[in-house]
Formats: sequence, C-alpha cells, structure tokens
Amino acid sequence: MIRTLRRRHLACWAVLGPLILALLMLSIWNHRPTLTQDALPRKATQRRGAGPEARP
Amino acid sequence: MSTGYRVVQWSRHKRVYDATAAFLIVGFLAAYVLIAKARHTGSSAFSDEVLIIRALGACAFVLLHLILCIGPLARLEPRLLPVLYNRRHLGVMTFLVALAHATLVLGYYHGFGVANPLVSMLSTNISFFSFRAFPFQLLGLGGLLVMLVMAVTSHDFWLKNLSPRTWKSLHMAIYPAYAMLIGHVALGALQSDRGWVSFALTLFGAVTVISLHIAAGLREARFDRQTPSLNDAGSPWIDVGAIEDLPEDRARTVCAGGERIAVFKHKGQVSAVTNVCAHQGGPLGEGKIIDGCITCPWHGWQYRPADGRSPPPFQEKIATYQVRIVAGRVQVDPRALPPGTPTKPASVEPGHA
Repeated sequence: MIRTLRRRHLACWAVLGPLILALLMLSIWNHRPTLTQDALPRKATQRRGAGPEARP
Repeated sequence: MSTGYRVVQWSRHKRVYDATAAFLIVGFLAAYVLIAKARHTGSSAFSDEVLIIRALGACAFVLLHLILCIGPLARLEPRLLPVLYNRRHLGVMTFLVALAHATLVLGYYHGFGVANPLVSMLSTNISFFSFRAFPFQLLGLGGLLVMLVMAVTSHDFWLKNLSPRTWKSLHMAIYPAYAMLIGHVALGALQSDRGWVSFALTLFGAVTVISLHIAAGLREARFDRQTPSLNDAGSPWIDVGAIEDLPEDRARTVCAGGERIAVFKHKGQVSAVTNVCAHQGGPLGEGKIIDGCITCPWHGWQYRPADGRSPPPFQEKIATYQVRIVAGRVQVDPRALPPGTPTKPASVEPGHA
C-alpha cells in the first residue's frame, strides 16, 4: 500500500511539476500590468469626487 | 495515539507549536501590510481592505509552501522530523487564513450587487479562453474547497474510519490543489503586479516544492529497487548486515519484495517488524525504541518489538518477521507474519552487543 502511494506521489509530481512551471512561465511571458480590480473602485470614486465639470 | 477520540489531544508540544505558528501568522500579516503601505504610496496606494485581502492570500500561499516542503524535507533530513509532528494543525490554520481571504474577497468585490456574492463570482467572468482575463478566482475557490475537505477530514477519527490508504489518497489531493492555487496567483495577483519580485518569489517557491518532492520520491524509489542479498540458494532468509552495524535502540531497514522491514536491536535482542506504522504509514525504521517500545518518528505511536502490539490500553498491531543471527550476521525471513504475532527475538551473543 505504502509503495503504491509512493509511486503515485512521484508520478503526481512528475506530471504536476512541469505543468506548474509551464503555467508560471506563461504568466511571466504574458505579464502586462493593466488596470487592476483594486484600482477600479478607487478611480470611479475619484471621478465622482471631481465635481460636475469632470462629468461628460 | 489514543483509545478514543478527542477534538484535539493537547500536549505542551502542540500548544507551543500552535502558539508559535499563530504568532508568526499575525507577524506576517502585520509586516505585509506595513511594507505594502510603505511601497505603494500616492496614486498607487491600495485601500486597507485590499491590503488585508492580499496579506491573507499571501500568508496562506506561503504557509501552503511550507506545509508542502515539510514532508519531503523530513524524508531527506531526519532531523526535521519534529516539524512533521503537528503538520495537520498548520494545515488547518492555512485553511482558516485562506478562508478569511476568500470571505473578504467575496464581500469586497462581489458583496455590493444585487446578486448573491458567490453567484456573482461564479458568473461575472467567463473568459475561460483568455489567458490574461482568465477567471482566476475560480481556481482559488477550487483550491479552497480541496483544503476544506482536508481540514474537515484531518482528524484521526476520519483517518481510522476512512482507512489510512483512502485517507492518504484523499489528502494527496493537495497536490492538484497546489497547482490550482499557483494558477490562481499567476493569473490573478501576479498579472496586476508591476514588479518582478512577486514573480521571482513564486517561481522560487514552486521550484523548491517540486524539486524537494521529486528528490524525496526518487530517493524512496531507489531504496525500493534494492535487491536484498540472499544467503544460499532456496533460502528465504535475507541478510540485514553484521550485528555490530545495527545501532542500539535503532533500526536498519531492508526492502524485500517491495515491502520494507525494520530490524531493531534493543538490550541484546534483535526483532523485526514492518516499516509501516498502523497510524499514517510512518517509517518505523527511522524511529527509535523508547521505554522498550518501537516509537514511530511521525506521531509517536508505539509497538512492542517482540509482538508488534501497542502497549495496553492501546490495541494497534503491526506485522512481525522472524529473525535470526548466523555467524554474527542478522538475517530476516521476509514473509510477514500476521499483525501482532509474537516472535522470538534473536539474542546477541556476549561480546557482540
């Protein structure tokens, strides 16, 4: 039982390891910092607080 | 080890471990918030809520890395075994930190609309085929659900009732969950991060976890491939080594037919038991004899060397093996006897002890 689990453990990491690293590499490759979700509410608030002249 | 179940069987060691872990978690959260506040000022400043959400997420992510490193590190370096002792407590703490992160995310980003926050999170972003706009929160939710199942079933009650094999297999789900959480971070927080420090740290963490697990797995596989030396043709007995080479109150482990056998020497007597603890499959051969009992290095479960039974009132049993000493060399019969079968320990001749 233990031997089977050990084999499964090694097989699991042999598959997951390259997948995880590939995912991280892809995310680095595609890294384009844009407007974040965090920034959205703050920017909206800033526009609201800018007064009537700032509105279209 | 107990005859019944308690929610937590507290000991001084566990209290110190948990208090230290809780202190470090709070320290990490405070340090994260303070450093982030100092780094992001002016137009790039984050709100306090966002900082706390990020701090909790980062803390859970770091804790998960630590937990995943403990297992292989303990396999590769036995001196780190004490850290393994309370790993489940650390796992439950990690889940609670991750749950706090998820709850705040739901409330902050999805709690102010007309839709149920969970429905909002599940349905707002469905760009599954876009790399940059991928709904990374779903990956986090998937990882959190796996951690929930593991936290709920972490108690010995479930270990006993699910059977160690099922329980171990179930808890290996943390590996795909880790991959999901890497995806959650890589497609979420890292994409909005303008620097490269977070990327470098995440990559370092992932490479460390993967390397350690593969190194420990290969080491175990190499040990399992060892072919024991037979004595003579047709004899089932396998050679363990010279009696002098067996350390007192410790074991030498041999692998025969895929099963590991731990051969212990204690007070001039040599006994052999399976290397697999009845609790979580811990390596008994890496333990030592305390108070006359073989003690598992993982959680301290104990067995008598002569019959593989736990001392009363405990009722656990493990397989035993016949052992003999011929011309100063220890030999073991690799055919396992039923768990709890008494065997006659081989006596070390005076001058060999």
